[in-house]
Amino acid sequence: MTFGDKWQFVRQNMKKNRVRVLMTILAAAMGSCFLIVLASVGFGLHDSIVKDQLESSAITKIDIYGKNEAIQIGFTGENIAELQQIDGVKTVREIQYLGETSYHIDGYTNEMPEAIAVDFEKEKQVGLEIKNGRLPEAENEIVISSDFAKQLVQDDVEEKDLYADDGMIKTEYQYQENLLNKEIELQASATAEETNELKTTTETVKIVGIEAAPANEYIHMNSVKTTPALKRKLDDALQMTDSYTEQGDPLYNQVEVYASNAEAVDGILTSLEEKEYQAYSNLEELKNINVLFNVAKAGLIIVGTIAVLIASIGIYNTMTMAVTERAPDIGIMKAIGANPKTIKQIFLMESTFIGLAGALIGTAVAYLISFSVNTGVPIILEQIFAEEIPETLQLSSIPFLLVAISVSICLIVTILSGSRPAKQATNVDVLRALRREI
Amino acid sequence: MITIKDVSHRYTMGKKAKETVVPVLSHINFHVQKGEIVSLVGKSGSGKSTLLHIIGGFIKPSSGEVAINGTEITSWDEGRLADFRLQHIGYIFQNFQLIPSMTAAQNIELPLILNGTSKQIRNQKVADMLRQVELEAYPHHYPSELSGGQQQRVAIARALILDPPLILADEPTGSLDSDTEAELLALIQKLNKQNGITFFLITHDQEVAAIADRQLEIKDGQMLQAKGVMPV
Repeated sequence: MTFGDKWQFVRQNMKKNRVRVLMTILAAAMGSCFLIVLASVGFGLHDSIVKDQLESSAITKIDIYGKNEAIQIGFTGENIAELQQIDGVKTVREIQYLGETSYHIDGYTNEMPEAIAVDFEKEKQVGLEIKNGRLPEAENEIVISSDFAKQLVQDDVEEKDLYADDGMIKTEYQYQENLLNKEIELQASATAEETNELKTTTETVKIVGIEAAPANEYIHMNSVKTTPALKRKLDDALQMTDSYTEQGDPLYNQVEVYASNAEAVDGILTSLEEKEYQAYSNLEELKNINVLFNVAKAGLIIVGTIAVLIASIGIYNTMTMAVTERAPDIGIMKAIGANPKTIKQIFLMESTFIGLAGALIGTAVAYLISFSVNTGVPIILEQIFAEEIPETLQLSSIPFLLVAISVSICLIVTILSGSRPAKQATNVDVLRALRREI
Repeated sequence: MITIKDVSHRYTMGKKAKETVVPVLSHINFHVQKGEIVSLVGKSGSGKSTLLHIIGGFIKPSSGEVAINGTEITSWDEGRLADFRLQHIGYIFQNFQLIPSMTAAQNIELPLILNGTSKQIRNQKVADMLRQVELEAYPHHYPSELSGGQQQRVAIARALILDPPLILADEPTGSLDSDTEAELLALIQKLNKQNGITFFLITHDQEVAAIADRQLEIKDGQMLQAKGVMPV
């Protein structure tokens, strides 16, 4: 018996019980749709978080926190050279903190930006983007972050009046003029460890560049980058020696290693461990996130499968009724010479069709729901909480993998639920069926 | 064509504790030649239907051997028996046993479908067969729209469509009036003579038994006598 002829039988059989078959397909579709929509939340949030991670930080970046054998606090030039020689390392970015600094211009002050001294050639290599201006070339030149001006606030305003409801400084108290190429007063202070005396020094520095805003609009950077020469000048003025070795070489507070590509990160981390550096990679965090979300997604799929299993009871019931109703026909077919395998295949084809049709309809509806959720829910949330929902936030995502998993589960479950009735069909006793005793 | 060698059969009735064994057939032996019409007569409950079902492979005998066309089938499984039945045996039932949701042509086509015959050949063969059983005017009629005689002709056409060498018929005229019965018997004789098909009929109707080349009689599960031109 050809596949086409078997399919004709299946079609004829289903036509006879159109409503019942449709209802069963509907149940399978609902189960499949529930599975996909439920799991799509896991997939959507996972995608959002991964995208957020990738946008907020480079995955090729490895933060170095220290070295086990180091006797001084900070990293030396030798450490930097050692790190640079590791296979797969593109750049080693060394950072010195300027300490407590504040910036003053025309009656406006930015109290506590993150101020660091860096090698600007390396900054270029790790992707520093200047929106306006250029990189510092002379000693007293600085680059500020895009949000620096927002933190540069009017001096004579009381703190209680300064902030708006959203926790941001009110626009009217922010510095409104263009800061590029303006000279600003940098005030650095430090407390000498031995005398406990607070020392202060002031330098006039020129803002030569403004950094581009970070890709993630929710990251607010209030920072200043300057040259190592200015750092040394300020330390000399404040008589601070703990940022240098006994020989007078700089000690770096923070070191970041940049891999040439994401694949090289694992190898670099291994080398760092061998060289006894304490390191942390965003890729590791990403891996942890992946593990966590994969477990969550598996859990959601399992819960969703319960819905498919419930639908399978319907399929089992439909197929059992079909076998009972068609027992006389099965008996006649067997008497004529239909092989039991053929009978089984016809019934399995029918249950498989129900499962497949249900899975496909369920998938189509799930895509529709997913689209509606991604479009509608942010609007609703924005209306309720009066807050803008991040663009990267995706509440539901249906990748092909999820569709494949859902269709497979649906097919397996329906074939299993149809297999017992199909077996019953093969076991129909010909003589009893012909006597209409079944 | 059919060789029955020392076939006995008994049914087991009731549950384990109160099992009762009912003997139905006892040491049956006979042989049917190719091209013969053989009738098996006997009263109700004599075991003739059981014997027919054993020959058709629907029941396995408790003991003995059954061979069709020289092939011993007693030990075969259901699948193999079904395949064998499709190719070698045509079955005609007392109550026609047509599938009610299929038209006359579709019922006749069924063995061809099971056999994997192509649609083109199927259409041709069904048209020929409808003509042969004089039902060419009713291909799209459902069994409920046909008379008893027409339904039985559809059943015969279905039994003959794969040109089996053997036809087993279980009370083939049991549901027919006398005129239709005569027509059907004439058709059986015509097919036997023209195509050399072997017919094994079970009946309690002497008119049906009379068309046979040889009559076998069964009583209380035992073969009594044989009448006719061919020896047992």
